[in-house]
Amino acid sequence: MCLGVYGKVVRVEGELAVVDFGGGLIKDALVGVEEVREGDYVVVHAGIIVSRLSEEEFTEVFRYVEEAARQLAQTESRVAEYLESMRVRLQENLSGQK
Amino acid sequence: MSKISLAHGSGGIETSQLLARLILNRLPEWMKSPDGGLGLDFPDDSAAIPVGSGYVVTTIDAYTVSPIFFPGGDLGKLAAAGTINDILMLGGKPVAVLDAIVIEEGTSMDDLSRLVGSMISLLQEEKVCLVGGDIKVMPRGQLDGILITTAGIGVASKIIADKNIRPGDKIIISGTIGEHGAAILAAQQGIKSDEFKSDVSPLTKLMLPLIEDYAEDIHAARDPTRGGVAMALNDWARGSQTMIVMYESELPIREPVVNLCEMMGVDPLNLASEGTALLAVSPEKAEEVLSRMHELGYREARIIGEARERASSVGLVVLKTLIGGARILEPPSGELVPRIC
Amino acid sequence: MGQQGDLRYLTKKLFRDKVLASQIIRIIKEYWELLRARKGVEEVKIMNFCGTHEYTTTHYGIRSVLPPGVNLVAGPGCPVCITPSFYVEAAVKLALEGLTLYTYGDAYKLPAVKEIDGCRSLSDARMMGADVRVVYSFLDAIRDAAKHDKPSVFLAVGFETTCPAYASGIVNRLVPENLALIMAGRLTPPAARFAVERVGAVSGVIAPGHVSTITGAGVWRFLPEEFDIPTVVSGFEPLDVLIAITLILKQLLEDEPKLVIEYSRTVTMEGNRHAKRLLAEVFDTVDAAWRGIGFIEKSGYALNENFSRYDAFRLYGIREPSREEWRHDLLPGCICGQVILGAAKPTDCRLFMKRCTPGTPYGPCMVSVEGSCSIWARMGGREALVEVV
Ligand code: SF4
Ligand code: SF4
Repeated sequence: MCLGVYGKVVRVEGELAVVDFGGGLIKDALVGVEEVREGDYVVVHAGIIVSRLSEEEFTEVFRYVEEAARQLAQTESRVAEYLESMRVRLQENLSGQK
Repeated sequence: MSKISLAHGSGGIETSQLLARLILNRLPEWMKSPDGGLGLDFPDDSAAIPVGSGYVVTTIDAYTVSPIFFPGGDLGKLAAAGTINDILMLGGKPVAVLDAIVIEEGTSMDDLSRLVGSMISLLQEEKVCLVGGDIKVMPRGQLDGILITTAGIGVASKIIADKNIRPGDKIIISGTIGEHGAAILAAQQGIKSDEFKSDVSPLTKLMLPLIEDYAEDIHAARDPTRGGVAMALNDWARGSQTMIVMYESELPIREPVVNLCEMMGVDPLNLASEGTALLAVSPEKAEEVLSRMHELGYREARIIGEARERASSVGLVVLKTLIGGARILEPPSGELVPRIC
Repeated sequence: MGQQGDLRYLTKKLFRDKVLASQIIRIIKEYWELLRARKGVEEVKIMNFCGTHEYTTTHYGIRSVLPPGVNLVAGPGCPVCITPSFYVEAAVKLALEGLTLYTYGDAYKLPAVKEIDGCRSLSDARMMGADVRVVYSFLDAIRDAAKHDKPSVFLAVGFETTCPAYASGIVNRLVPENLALIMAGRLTPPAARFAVERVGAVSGVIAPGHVSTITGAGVWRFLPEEFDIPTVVSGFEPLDVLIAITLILKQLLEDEPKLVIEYSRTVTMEGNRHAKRLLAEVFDTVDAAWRGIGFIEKSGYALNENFSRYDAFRLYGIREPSREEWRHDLLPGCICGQVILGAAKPTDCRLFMKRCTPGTPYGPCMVSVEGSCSIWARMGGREALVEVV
């Protein structure tokens, strides 16, 4: 229901923040969260910052998937076969991230 | 309710429906095109009239855009390039243009002079004559700004009519998608960024050599203007008895355009290009044509899909998505407006 | 761009990765096989409450890669689809009376049941010469309205995610004198409860990610606790949705319905305190009508006494219909209300693909490309899709 776009805060000016949506796409938005600082990653919906993105949590969800696959692998040998390839792919995607 | 809405002019389904109702359905078959030619009997960029051993290719288009000056060009350049491209896409070599300019009372003389100046200088560079025209002024409020209509005339020895697409043909695009539409959308939404620049330009340097060498192998050519790539491909699929399959991962769309579209909730495949060609090329020659395009300076050109045997009764365009799923690529419908959900 | 550590870049790289997607799809298939073998399950029906999840699902062709027994259905997730016809009619009327009307692109196209002087939507009103302006945000409308002093009205639709922008504009005194609001905001959890109470038989719920950034995921706890429905608050990338499906199937297999936050990169249990405070300061929560569904208790935002001067209805003497006066606002024969609740399939509607087609929509669900009926109408090419996959 609610289209949200990720951006990076360039500047905060009172109740407004200037947000960079990537590749020089800059637009300001209302600040709808407790505090934002320059450099924060945020979710913007229809011109208002509705939340911040957490760097620590960013890839957490893939832990769930790995865990699920590992569980399946205990009984289903088919899963065991590709569990490793999945891990490799994840690693590839994440490496290069600082 | 029967009133004309902006959707009727957005180049999508509504435009086709209006055209059918207003004109096509009222014409007997013989009136739609002269014998051996191509006219309203088939939706294409231009019409062709057989003369001697070749054809006269002709087209007409009315241009409006808001704002009239936009990053990368202006209305005058658009009117000249658009008509030249329409001629080229049917395999013609542009020879001459006529223009009709309708101006709202009170329009700035400077603006008008700049627009016409850029139209003329483009025609001059392209060595295309301006052989006639008309100027009218409308009382203030009866027209929003300026409307430029250009008619183009060209010659061809063989035409590229888009009904010849066959299963196996490769779909090639000459450059990145949706650049003109993105520049206009950004300007209208008050987004200031150097990243958006209309691609408006004549495709002569690309198309003349290709027509020269590959007229037999190019089964269709189109510049995806209003309605974008989605509209052009749907026209092709419906008109050709094939299903067109596109690969989302192969689509050349620049990052800022993707971001703008995600932010505004519009599909880049519905955005107009004004200097980009879409070709359907026989599979044997596709790679060769592609490298030729690269040599001609169109470095972003690539194969983005292919025509296949039809699986159902309707001519569908199917997009293989990034994650390996598939979806039907609809022709655009309604005005392009930002969504919240 | 220095893309490496950029979260925007990483999102696209990671959450749209084809190889990972195919691996997760395999896990989904494994779970599905196990569910069938061990529990004799024949169909899993997973409901989303969010137009944008539905968008992700269709846009990336997710249905085409799932096992045939795993069905994704769309619930009442569309602030536009569920906006009662009455508000659209009022907005059209004000526009035709000469006011400047602002709204978002999707509400601009939304058709009403009644015609007002031949106009059924704001886009109709615009072609009759009314001053209707489509904006990307409330902020853009504020700025535009401040440039002229024509009396103006914003058709303020939206859920918990959209409404803080209205509250913030008002509290921060950004809204110019000449701009008022038709407040049609709605709350999602009451509607979700309503839907599962009526419909039952939902095997899992993909809960809305961006609404949850505001409300907190906690508001969905009632789904597993009271209704035993596995519930996953999910993000909007294709892999988010695939992972959410995996997690729901896992819970079904383990018989352990619970609330999980898949979208943990931006959703917490308690939500956005600042926005919740803004909402509480400006709005009262009232019983409110949902299009095609009826009144749902405590499901609407209304401007409270302190801010009633922004209330367009009050300003222009329009009275909202009460629960007693409220009438079914669908055209005869249209069963969108049930389709929205997931209780009926579009093909159950007698008008589907007869009177009502994407080219000539009759009911609201056929209007937008993400409306359920519109999606089904275009699924006619499903064989073609499966063949391509
Ligand atoms: S059609 Fe879909 S996206 Fe649009 S408002 Fe309705 S639910 Fe939301
Ligand atoms: S098919 Fe049309 S009339 Fe029937 S429920 Fe859907 S939108 Fe309503």
